[in-house]
Amino acid sequence: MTVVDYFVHDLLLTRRTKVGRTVFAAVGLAPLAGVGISFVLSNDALTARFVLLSTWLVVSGVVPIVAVLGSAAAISGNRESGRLRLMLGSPTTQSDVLFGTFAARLLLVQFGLLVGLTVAVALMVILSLPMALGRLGGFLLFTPLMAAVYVSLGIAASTTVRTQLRSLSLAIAGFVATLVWPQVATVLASVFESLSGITLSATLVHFIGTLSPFGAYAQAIGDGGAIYGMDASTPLLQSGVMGLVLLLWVGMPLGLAYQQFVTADV
Amino acid sequence: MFISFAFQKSRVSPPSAIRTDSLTKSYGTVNAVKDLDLTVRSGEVFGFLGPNGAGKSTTIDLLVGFTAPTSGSGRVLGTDIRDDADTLRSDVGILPDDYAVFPELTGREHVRSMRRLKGGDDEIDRVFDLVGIDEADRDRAAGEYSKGMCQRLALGMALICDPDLLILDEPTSGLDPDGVATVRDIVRDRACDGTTVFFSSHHLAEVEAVCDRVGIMNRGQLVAVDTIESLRERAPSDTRLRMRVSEEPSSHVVDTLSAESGIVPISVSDDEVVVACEKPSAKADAIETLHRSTPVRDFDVESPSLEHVFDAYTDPDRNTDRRSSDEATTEGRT
Repeated sequence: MTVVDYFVHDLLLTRRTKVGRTVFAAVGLAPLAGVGISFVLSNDALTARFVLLSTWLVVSGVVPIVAVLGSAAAISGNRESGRLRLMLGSPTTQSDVLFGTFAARLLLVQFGLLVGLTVAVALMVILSLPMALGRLGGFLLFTPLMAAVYVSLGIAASTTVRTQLRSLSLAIAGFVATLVWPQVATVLASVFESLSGITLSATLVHFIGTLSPFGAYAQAIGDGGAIYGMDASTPLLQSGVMGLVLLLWVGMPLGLAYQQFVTADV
Repeated sequence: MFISFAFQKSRVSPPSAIRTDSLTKSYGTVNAVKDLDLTVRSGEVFGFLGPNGAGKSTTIDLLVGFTAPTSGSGRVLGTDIRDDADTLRSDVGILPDDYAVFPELTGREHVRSMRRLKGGDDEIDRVFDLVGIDEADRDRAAGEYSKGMCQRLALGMALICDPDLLILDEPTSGLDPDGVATVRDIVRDRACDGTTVFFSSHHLAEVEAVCDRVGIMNRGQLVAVDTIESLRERAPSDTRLRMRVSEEPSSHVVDTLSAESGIVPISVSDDEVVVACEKPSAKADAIETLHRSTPVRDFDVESPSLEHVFDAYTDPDRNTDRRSSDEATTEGRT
């Protein structure tokens, strides 16, 4: 199982590099920063929903960009420098490299999140905040899934182009596209309506907005009302569907990366 | 330090360690490797020569599956390079060109990672002893290594798990003379152990020192394959015969020498006559002819250097220039 062996190799590498340590620290500190900011802004009227919203805002701002940038140079950097050639002097295949690297970077981000979220939840418990367990559960379930999406996007960028600079640029472009997609979807729907004279339902426009990982995550954590001013009201916008959208976003970039990378020259 | 491998190969090797048939790699309209028919026998040390851009590294990339051929086929250790490149790499030790080490990992971690990926249980310190990396350096970050040490480390990674075939692309690059000698010893030792060694280099002397046969690549094509001695004989480069005489021969003798088939006088002085011999038998004829007029006290045979042979196959114009330059130097001396 050379994919496991390559995973072990990349995990060792990740633990040693500044990038790896920075990713771990940033992802781990993001939930704590969210809780801290809610304290500062609460004016002594701290509510569980406000703490969760604040934590979500920080986490959803920090984790995707850190995850995507922390993964974007993982393979392209080794390929550009020649380190990949050195390691491929073994029975390792390019798909082993792809999936082994993805698994290592995913574990790094997930472990950082686990530490950060555990401490954040412990703080909420200590503060005896009356938590809505469903909302908290959604947050704890979907945040790692969202992080996995951005690791997958970063790894895909890393295999699609041959240099670090290009893969980082591609990853940033991808990140921005997923971030603004809900707004872009709304604008496109307005343009379509004005040109065609057909009125689209608000739910449909909303659903199209959730087809990006950021939109799906925002919808799935159960506080869509706080973000979109609209709560989920149809099966199309329920957490299960959003979970499926996020899972597709984990698999799709990896699938495309696999097609691109396994047949590429080293 | 040089430590021998303690055991001989026990696996049954195919008769050809490497075999390619019309192997071609094109980039657009450029043929990096064209119709390569190459056979490397099991257990031999094969030198792979060629100027920059000749296609040596592309050939190696094709053999180990780093790049896919445009057409043609190849087998390495009996395994198809198109279908099963990763499998064949488990029995091949590769020192690629254009590689880099992981600056954050120690030398030991590099070799351990490679051992894990190859699925072996070889002793790591044995490899370090073999390539000459001191104990103190083994646990230092590779980012602190010199170029020569990185080369030793990469060579060690190629040697881990006792491969049946070693493919070394410019293995002496960046090494000091001691390192070059170490590589030479390793190659010879591995060859004695039954390992096939495919040795690509620009250092002709290194190739000459360790290789049983050589192949010369030029502009993507294999222009010659043979032993170095056979290539010398086949290449249009003359052997030079330097004969020491008791007295200067007359012009008549020089004319007689010139009339002999395959003999070209180069210089004549009081005590020495130098001729170029186009074929081996011409040497005896030259000595006999000269000895009839003046006693030949001694003689030396100067074979064309590997550089001359190399030039003859890759750049005939430069070979002519080099011979002319040598002759001018010789005449200047006389």
